[in-house]
Amino acid sequence: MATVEREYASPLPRARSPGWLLTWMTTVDHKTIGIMYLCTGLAFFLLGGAQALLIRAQLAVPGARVLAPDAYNQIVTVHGVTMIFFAVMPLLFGFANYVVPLMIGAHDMAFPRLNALSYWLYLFSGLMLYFSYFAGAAPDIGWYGYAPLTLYPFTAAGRTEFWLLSLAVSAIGTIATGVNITSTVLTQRPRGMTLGRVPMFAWMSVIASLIFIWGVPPFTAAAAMLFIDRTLGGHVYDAAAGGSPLIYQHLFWAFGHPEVYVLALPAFGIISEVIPVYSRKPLFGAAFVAAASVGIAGLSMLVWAHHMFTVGMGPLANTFFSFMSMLIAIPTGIKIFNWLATMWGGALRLTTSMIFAAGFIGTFVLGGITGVHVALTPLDWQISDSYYLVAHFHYTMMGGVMFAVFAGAYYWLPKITGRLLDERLGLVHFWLMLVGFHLTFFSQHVLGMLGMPRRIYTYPPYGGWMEWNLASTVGAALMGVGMLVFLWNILASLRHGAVAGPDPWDAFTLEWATSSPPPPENFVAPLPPVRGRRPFWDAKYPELADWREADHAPAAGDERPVRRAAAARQERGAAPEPQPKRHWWQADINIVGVGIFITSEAIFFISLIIVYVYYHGRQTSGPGPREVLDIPYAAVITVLLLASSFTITRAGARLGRDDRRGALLWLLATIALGAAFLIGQGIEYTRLVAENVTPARNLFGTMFFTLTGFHGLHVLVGLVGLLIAAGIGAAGRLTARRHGGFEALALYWHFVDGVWVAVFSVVYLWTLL
Amino acid sequence: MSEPQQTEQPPSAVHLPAPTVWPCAMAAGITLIALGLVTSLAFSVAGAALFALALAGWLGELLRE
Repeated sequence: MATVEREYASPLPRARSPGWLLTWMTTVDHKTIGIMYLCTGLAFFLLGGAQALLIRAQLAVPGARVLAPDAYNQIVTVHGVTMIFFAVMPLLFGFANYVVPLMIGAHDMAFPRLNALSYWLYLFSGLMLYFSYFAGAAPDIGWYGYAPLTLYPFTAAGRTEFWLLSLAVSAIGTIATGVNITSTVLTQRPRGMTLGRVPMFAWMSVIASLIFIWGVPPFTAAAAMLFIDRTLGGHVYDAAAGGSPLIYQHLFWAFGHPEVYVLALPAFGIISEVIPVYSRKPLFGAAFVAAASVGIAGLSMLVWAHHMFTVGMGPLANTFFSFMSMLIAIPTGIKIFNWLATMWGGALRLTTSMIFAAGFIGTFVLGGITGVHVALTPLDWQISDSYYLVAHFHYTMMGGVMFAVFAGAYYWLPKITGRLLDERLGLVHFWLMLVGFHLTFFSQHVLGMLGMPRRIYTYPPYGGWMEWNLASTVGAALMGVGMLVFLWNILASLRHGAVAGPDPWDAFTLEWATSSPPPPENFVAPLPPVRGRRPFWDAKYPELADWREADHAPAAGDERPVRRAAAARQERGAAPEPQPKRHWWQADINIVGVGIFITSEAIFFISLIIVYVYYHGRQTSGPGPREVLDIPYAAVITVLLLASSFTITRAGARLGRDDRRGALLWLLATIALGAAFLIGQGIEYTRLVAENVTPARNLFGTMFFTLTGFHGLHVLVGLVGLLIAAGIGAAGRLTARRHGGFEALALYWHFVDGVWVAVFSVVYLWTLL
Repeated sequence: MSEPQQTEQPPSAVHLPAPTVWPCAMAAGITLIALGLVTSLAFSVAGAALFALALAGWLGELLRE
């Protein structure tokens, strides 16, 4: 490893210095990557915002001709995709990248190079999406890409593919980011920082990462099957061949709804950092806030079908998903009350950041209440696909999440740039956004109640829609002006903003215990000891340290809560220091990372297997599994693959004892068995194709090749990993020092074998029943 | 405000990975592979080659550490 012992003036490469572009392209510093995320996310946000203004200009009056119908569909689609995947989520990742390692006292992310890969995948996938305009194939299918609209008879060539493939590339990067954030928090914390003491933004970033890691595989499976339908003539969503477009909706929303919380939870985390600091109080009921996040994560996986009440799922399913959806209001409400209780009796400082946080609470509550409305099945039947839904969604995402992003920007940008933002411009920004936002989207509630459908490019001059549409457009313009003020504020701050210093807000957490901006290694001086949730505060004010007393909340109405609490603590004396301990998940970083990744892969295969089981025997023509599958042959190649799990275990054991030759021999045996399995699968495919059993033949053919093909692809990836390890071993470099990395590879191989057991049982053994 | 107590001693020299171009190159390779699936397979071939090059470079760096 390179040793960082030289002096750095700033982690930011200067644009005018020679080689600055190469410096940006080669960085693995989490702070620089965080800044790159923030800048790129802001650029995409402005792009998505410009598209929103075009949409609003088109809808301002009836019969407007700002956009042609096809262009309108493309802009609506790309606006949604941009804002969700290329603007808001990366802005939150930007903060997570920059702040989370600092908050937990780490020097970098757990996997710095993987972190860089994630960013570049994000940037390139975004560019690929916009390249579709130049290729004449910009997506026009909505951000959700419902089948059968996305199938060939209904959508021109390339449009679905650009949407699908750019999201797929982006998802690879996002999963890697999620694995990285989770691994960082699990493995890189300093002594004393138990999981219960992890700062709330870091905690919620982990929960959001896990939601994404576990939420995105159903969509990946849905998108993969859509791609197969379009390119190989598959029938997964082809109703005439026994497929079902509703399967797509289920899989998409199994991801789509948790995705809302992937965005919301880090926003909650920002609010949970900002409000306590500007209230001069610890977060009220922090343990409940943390637990409520876990509750939200769990529930978010069980509510997807509330997006599908109008498809006719039946009363039982409607009731279940309606009930579960309303249940989410409980953990969300806990957070709201905790934030209010934190402010209650606090010594409030109404900075721009705090005001945005307050604006977030009010707006998000309104979005939450309308969320309960759309969770009510009978009401949803009336307002589904109307502007009421558009309003609800934007109240949670724009008024909620983006207000939190702005709160985070005013809070953390001084740490990032070393300069304070102008508070007066901040106030102008806030009021323009608040008034503009409510004018834009409150009006859309009314439009929805008046029956205006979403996704229409124009409307007739009656029905009372014009006035509300015009108001909505004026509001959008106000927000546009607000964004210009925000940009001006940032640029002015960079040029001549007041120097922030390391701790401008007298804050609580460790990112403020270093310079602004921090040095490359983050912390030059020793870290303060971590004995509570607010280690930097405890170090600055040892007489007020949280760990001295569990109950430190001042009484409501106390004008000087800090001094009052201090007096109480001094009377009671010091509490014993907690003893730090390490857990199993802090053992080896590679195993942790691969382990988390495998959970995502497992859900991908579970999704495919569920669809296979659902479609079992539903093909409307051609042969089924009983007619074409050779069970004894498949059993033989299964034995070969399962034997490779044994051989790789032996290789790992030998490597652990630093028996390099023995490890290499067992590794070569594993490769031989894995290759034999793949060759065997290839022979089976050749025979089936010769018998005219292909993905295009019928629904069984599509699902058989999809499920076994993706498994084979994973075996191939594992085999490449094993070959690389063997190459390293042949060069004499596979030593006991690399045992952790090898065990991570072995873990992946065991997983691939385990998946085959499930696939073999469902695809082959089921035919014996 | 009193000075923060500082008792956790970080390592004397912090080890961070050196800057590297391979993550960027690998991402470009993956994106080109995907782009080729919707435009021309020539992009996919170039992407696969770039991916392989980046993987080799990345592994080389890991082995040198």
